[in-house]
Amino acid sequence: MATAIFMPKEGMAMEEGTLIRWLKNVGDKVELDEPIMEIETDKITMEAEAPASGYILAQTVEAGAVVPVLSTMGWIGEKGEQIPEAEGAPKAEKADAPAAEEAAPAEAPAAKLEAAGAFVPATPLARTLAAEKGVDLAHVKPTAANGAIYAADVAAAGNATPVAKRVAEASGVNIGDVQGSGFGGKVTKADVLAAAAPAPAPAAAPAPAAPAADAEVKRIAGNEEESRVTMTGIRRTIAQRMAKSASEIPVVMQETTVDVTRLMALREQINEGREKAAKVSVNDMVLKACAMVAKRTPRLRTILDGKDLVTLRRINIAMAVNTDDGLLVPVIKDADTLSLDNISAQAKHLAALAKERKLTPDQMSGSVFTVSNLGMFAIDSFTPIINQPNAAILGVCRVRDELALEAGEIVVKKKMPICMVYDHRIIDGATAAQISLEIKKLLEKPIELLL
Amino acid sequence: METFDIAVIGGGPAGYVSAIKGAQLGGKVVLFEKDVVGGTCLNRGCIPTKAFIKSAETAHEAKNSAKRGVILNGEIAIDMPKVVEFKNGVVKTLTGGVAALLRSNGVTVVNGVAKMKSETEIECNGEVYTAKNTILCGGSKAIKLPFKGVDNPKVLTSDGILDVQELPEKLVIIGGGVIGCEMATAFACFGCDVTIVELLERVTANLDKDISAGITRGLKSLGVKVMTGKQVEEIADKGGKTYVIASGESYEADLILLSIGRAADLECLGALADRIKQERGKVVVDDYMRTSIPNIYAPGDINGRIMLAHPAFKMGEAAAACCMGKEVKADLSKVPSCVYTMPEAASCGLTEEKAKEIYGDDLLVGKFPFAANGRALAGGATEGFVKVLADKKTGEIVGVHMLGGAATEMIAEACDLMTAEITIEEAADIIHSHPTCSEAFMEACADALGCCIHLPKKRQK
Repeated sequence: MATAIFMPKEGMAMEEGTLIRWLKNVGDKVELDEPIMEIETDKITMEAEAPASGYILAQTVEAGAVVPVLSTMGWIGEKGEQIPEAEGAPKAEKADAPAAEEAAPAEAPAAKLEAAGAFVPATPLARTLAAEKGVDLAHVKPTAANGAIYAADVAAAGNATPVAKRVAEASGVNIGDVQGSGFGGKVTKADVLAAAAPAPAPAAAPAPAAPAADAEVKRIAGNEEESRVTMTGIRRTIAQRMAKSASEIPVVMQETTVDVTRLMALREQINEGREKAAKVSVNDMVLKACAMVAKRTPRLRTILDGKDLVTLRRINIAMAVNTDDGLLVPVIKDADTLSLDNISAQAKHLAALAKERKLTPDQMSGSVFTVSNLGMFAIDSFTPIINQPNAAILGVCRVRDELALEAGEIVVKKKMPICMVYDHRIIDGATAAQISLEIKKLLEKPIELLL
Repeated sequence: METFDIAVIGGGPAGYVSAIKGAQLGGKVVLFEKDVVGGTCLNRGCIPTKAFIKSAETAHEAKNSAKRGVILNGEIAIDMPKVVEFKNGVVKTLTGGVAALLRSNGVTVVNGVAKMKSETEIECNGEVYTAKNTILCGGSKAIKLPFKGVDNPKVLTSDGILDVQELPEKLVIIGGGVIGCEMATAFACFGCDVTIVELLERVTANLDKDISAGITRGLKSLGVKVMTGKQVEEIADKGGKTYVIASGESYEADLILLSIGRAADLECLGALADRIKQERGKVVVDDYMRTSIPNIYAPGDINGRIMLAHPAFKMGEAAAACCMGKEVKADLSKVPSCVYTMPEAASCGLTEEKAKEIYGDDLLVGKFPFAANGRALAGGATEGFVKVLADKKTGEIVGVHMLGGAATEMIAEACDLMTAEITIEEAADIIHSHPTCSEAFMEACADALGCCIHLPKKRQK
């Protein structure tokens, strides 16, 4: 009887492997334990051995395919032996076209786990959400490479109603990003509309709260409600995006202190005699520096799309703007082609539009890097949340005076900490440190920003 | 005495349902009822009127049976005491049923008028009961406007009209809303001379225009005189006869039914009447049925949101669930309304007028007449239509209006699809039994999409 060649499970967490290439062909004679294929798992590349001696009767999986563990990839047996019907055919998929249909390989591991009654890897937030929504984790489709279920996967798990899907299409909302409020986490039309609207509907928020507003609702243990308003519009969008970013990305923060003495002096020179509306700010200079570094550092403008690392071409830098309704993050497009003055003008223009809530979707998308500045407050360090799908975000803190010794003299230096938070799936520590260093160098030799 | 988890004042649709739901969720429940459980719905409203209407339908079929080749020898007479007796039998079965449901769920039922004494105390029959939460289900009562002569003994509200032992020769119905039209239908079939006097320009003015028009046609074909745009000034006795005088016209009446609307019954608020927020005579509640006092809820007619029994059921369930610590909203966005006239009518969602305002050129309208429906033709009842309104951009079905067939049953399909947010394209594809009146819905969806097989091709404009 023929023996099946299968994708070996090399480790507890392994859900699938990629067949790099066959080392033997159909018709070749192989011995038990002889290497017959080269496979790749999340962690390493290795050879897999023949499960029996005999002739390779069939290879049902092509090089490059991604195959769930334990599924059949071929057959070994006596020469001319009949191989069983292809019911064991794995749900293989070319590794170089993962975007094509994410359903097959991703579903198989979940199904296997369910069948085995095994532990389903999921973050604590994902578990909580699943419990709240009444969604069975075994039915949630993980999107992360390691097969773990994140909160966003649970959010997408319930179906969306047909109308909700159409409304999402019509308004450009990614239905996978919408939290469903229907039965079993189902996404309804109302959920999509709430996710799509950047501007909260005026009547929406206060209505449910009004009758109960003057009541002491004894529902929060140990305290009394002063007010209750349903989250809508910008606030709700911020909450969803921040939760998603925080739960999905393995972040690391690196802080470094920039000597901005020369930067502040240059800025004073530039702004001398200028009207307030034409003055250049420290943030404008940081934006320019980041644009320059992003241009020469492809890794900084790389995003993760499924299993692909996609490096983006346009140096679009986003800047965090605080408005009455919440945080908005407009984007300065092609910042590398703009002079410091142009960047400054753009930043002012976008900030004004943000405060008037007149930003278009195009002005809020397509960034590769984001700068968040709390320097106007007494903040010396903070860990901003990455603006997905960026690989990193730079937090800018306040400038403070420090005494230093220079050639035996006491001088006042201006120091400004910058905190870079990066996505460790895309950027490693050493690379991140180099990027921070590049930005620091530019800011410490600020004349480069004008060239 | 023990403290109850939930006290329910009023045993109507909102009341008995909240009581049972509360008990199902493990609560200790007491229900206070001043009359008979089942409230207006079972005793004086929904149920008895349907029993009347069935008697009326039977009479109508009998009178028209000859054309089908069924010859009845002798006169078709109405025995009103028997009609009323039959109706009472139905009511008794149902109210007995509700009482049994309450008993089986372990709800303590107290017979008497109950009023709030404090936030956690209810007073009834001189005794004080304590409850952590109270659900006020006082319901509503028929409105009597204070025009001259309203106290004339010939004036009845819907409460009294269902116990009439002798058929009036001339019945004048003030108010052409759902109740007025239904009673007009019944009494016209019983052989009375019926006139409806309605203030607005059409009967059932809150429904779609085509529905109002269809109901009016139906009433007229039964011989009912429909007088719209008439404001009642007084009811006067003159020369031994009684007249309803409206906008200068006089309508003679042996019996007058006053059906101009219902007002919330706020008696149960008791000592908390000043503290529970009200607006225009109705208790203000949020989507969780909470009043301005946190542990007090008010589902059903008492909050005036939608004064029908089925949303009252849902509101009652939400209130009980909230009492037992679950956050449940009553979603009243897709509540159907039914009118049991002949032909009957039912609607769910937006009227065509309202939909046009919202969707403009993106509104799809499909209409299928029962005159083209096999079942209707076979049954000889070809008046009516099914109209479907949808948003062209998303396929969302935003309104469905049915007149004829078994509209009040058929509307359930529309409610299902609209609640599940199924698109009109999918709905048009669903196989419906043939021959049925139900398939008219599917045909109307296809018509909205311009591909109805069973209607002639429309001329290009």
